[in-house]
Amino acid sequence: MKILIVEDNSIQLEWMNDELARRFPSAKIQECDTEYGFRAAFEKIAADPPDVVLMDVMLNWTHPAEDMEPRPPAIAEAGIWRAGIRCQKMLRGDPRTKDIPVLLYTSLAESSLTAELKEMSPAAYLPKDSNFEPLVREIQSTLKKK
Amino acid sequence: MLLVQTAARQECLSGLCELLRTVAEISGSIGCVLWELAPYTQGGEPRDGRLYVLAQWFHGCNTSATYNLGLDSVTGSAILEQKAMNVGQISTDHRVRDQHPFLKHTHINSFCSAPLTFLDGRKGALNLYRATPFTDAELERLVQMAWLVPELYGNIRDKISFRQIRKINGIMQRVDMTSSPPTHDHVCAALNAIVESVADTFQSMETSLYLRNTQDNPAVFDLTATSLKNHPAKKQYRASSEEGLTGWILSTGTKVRLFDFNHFERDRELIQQQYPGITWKDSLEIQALARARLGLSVADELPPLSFMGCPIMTGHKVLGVIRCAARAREPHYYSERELALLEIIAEQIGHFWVTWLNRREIENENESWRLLVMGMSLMNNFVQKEIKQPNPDVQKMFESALRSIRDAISGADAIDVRLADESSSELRVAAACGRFWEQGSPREIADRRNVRVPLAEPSTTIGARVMKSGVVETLDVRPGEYAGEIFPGMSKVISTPVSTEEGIVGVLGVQSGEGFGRHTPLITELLAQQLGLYHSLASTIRRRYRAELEQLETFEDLQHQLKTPIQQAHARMQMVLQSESLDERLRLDLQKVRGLCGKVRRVAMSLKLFSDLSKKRCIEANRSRAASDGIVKMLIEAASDNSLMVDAKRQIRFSVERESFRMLNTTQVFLDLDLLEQAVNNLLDNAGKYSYANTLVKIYGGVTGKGKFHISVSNKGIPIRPKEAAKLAERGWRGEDAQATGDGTGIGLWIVDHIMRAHDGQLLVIPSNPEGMTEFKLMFPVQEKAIQ
Repeated sequence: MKILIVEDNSIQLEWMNDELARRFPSAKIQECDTEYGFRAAFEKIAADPPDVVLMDVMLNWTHPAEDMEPRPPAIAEAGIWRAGIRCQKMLRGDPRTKDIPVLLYTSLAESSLTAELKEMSPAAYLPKDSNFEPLVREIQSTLKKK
Repeated sequence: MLLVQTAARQECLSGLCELLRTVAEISGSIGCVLWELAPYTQGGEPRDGRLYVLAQWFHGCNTSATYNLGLDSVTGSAILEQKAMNVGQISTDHRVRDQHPFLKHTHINSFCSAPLTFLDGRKGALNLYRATPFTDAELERLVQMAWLVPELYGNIRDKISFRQIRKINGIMQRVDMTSSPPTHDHVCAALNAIVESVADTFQSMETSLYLRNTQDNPAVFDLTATSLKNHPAKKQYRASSEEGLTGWILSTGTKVRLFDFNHFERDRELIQQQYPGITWKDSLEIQALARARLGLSVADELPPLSFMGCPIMTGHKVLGVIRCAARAREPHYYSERELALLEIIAEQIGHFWVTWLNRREIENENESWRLLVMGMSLMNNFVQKEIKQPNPDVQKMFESALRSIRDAISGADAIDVRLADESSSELRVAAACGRFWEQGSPREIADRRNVRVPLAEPSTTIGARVMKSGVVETLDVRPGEYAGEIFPGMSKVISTPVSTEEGIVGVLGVQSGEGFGRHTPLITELLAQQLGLYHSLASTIRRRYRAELEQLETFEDLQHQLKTPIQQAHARMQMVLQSESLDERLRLDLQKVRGLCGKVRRVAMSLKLFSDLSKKRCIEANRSRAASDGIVKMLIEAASDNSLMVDAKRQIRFSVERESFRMLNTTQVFLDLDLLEQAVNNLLDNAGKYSYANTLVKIYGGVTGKGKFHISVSNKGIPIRPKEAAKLAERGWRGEDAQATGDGTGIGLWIVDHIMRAHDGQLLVIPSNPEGMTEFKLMFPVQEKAIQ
């Protein structure tokens, strides 16, 4: 089983990694921690798609670097607020990845994502919480449906 | 032939006398008189008719024929019977009933009379006088000349008329209306030249022109030009038949010609048959003036004082009147042809005046729009400043708006804005300007402003009606009407609703005594819209400010609730970490938890500081002397916590140069350690976010050459350009590149800047150097004695 985590907070990412490794010992866990990172890795993801994606919504474009890629104007204008939604759109737009279940795992309230949830129809929306159990149950249920 | 040559030489209307002289000389007579029958007797009973001397000539004597004569005279018979009459011996002829003195004084024994018809159809007679009787052949020649004289007189008149019209055209053309309109004085000078020329042509003792100064106020007609120099004419007329002949013309728009207004009372019935309702009072003053002008004594018979006047029209509206009165030379009466010429002149003047009024109106309108734009700009500047206040004052905004725009509202004597009170039962004055509002003592002004307009049903006030209908009202007001709302003497009112998205909130009123410019209602409406906008803006700002205040109070409350548990969590975590029995993994996790607690504590404190600063409260620093150990310990802990918050893969290290703080043992610096911790952590948080991978964040201190203590954080990361350095401490400002790599609100450095101000210090941002290093310095003052 392969799980892709798209999350930019390093402490959150480390914790999710630890928890997933504990709950799904055989799972192969991949990470993307910026929107640019996700886009750069997209071909690789499409070539070997994960079984489930845990997608954060607010993502930085990239890490500070001397040679960092500038944001395309449309993304610069839209900002970081819907970066995860853009990543999910990429998945839905490619026949190789369109059926991968995506669980939106975010601190944003469901009410502030109503339009996106309708449009993108992710497999599930889950608010970030210190209790990891609901996410584990959702992953299990999603994988059963496949 | 001689008559024709004489006529051709004449250049003025009194040339008619020269014609009569030629007629007399041809026939060897000593006098010749041209009589005219008053027109209003035509078709009436003969006894009602009267003959007037139109012109006369007598050789070698200055005596004149009587100026009017009954139809029962020989001349009257000649006209009525259309038959030439020959009186061989006046003293014995039974047909001569009343022998006038002039016949005796001049030793005239005979006269003959030939009827004639003037070119306009009126009847008259040409009489010759001498000592010896006239033969039948001479009578026959007189009959022929009687036929010729009106024709020749007509020619003289036509020539003069043509010249007059050309002259007036010339005067008008010299007044340039193509660019900006000439001044009122300039136009009046041209009209005076016209009036003098008309007086000269018609040989009038007086020619005067009365015109309305605006197109919208029909009430008053001002004396605009007159030929009278020494005795001024009446200054103003109203359109009323009670105001004499001129007032009647103005009120009816009808032209008038009277043979002799000096005998108005005698001829009243006849005159009023033709001009219903016209009135005049015979005036001794006018008689005296006429005598003086003609050099006559009281005993002398006064020649008839003829009158003609024409309305000056624009469409169906009366714009004014031009009148001519009392001819100074013969012919004594204004004829129909002359009235027709005066009518053409009136049309010329009317066209000229309307063109000028229109040009002036356009110019005034342009000026008003220019003033409006300037006023709007001033208004907006003021409002822009006012709306920066958390609680903008609508009244001040409105006062400024009215002051800025008053000059653009031409004709306004009073301008006011009245707003409905909270219960919508009354309108109260929110702002006012104009001389009526500003006159009197401060107490009187205040009392005037305190007058309220009731809004209760039925709507008996203008304000109540406009509040209810939402429709602009432009009213003509009679004296005493709407006493609570309108100043005495005001005749025009514009009342416009002031609306916001929530409905009508008040009324803008403009009052005028003389009338408005054509565009004033439109400007008033625009101003009302602008006032509505300001009202709306001020209400929105007040609402938002209240909401923001509530939000800030909530922040403060939350911060207060968070403070103690977070501090305790942090403190207990410290205790646990100091235990020696912890394994390394647990210690690392606990350190992370401590870092997270620290971060939450700082966020809570940021909330408190943000709330204080947003409410314009200064940050208070509880300063105590900084000790090297305490500062270094805090810095190490902050460095450690922040390094744990950064993604380990990026390999960003934090290091504190302990040695650089040793000088604190000999240097006295006073600071608030909690606030310093907040400031340092904000800087380190930024450094963690924006540093490149595999770099070092350095924290060090020292005293600058200018004697300031500094704590500095340097890192290599997203560059800060010199022009960005000054803006970084502004609230909400974030660098372009920073937005790509880290979330944030742009208030961290704003808070640090205010923390430094609370210490009488400074946040110094040193832009990236060529190696890419950026520095943030917290600069504190040092006690000077201690430096020594």
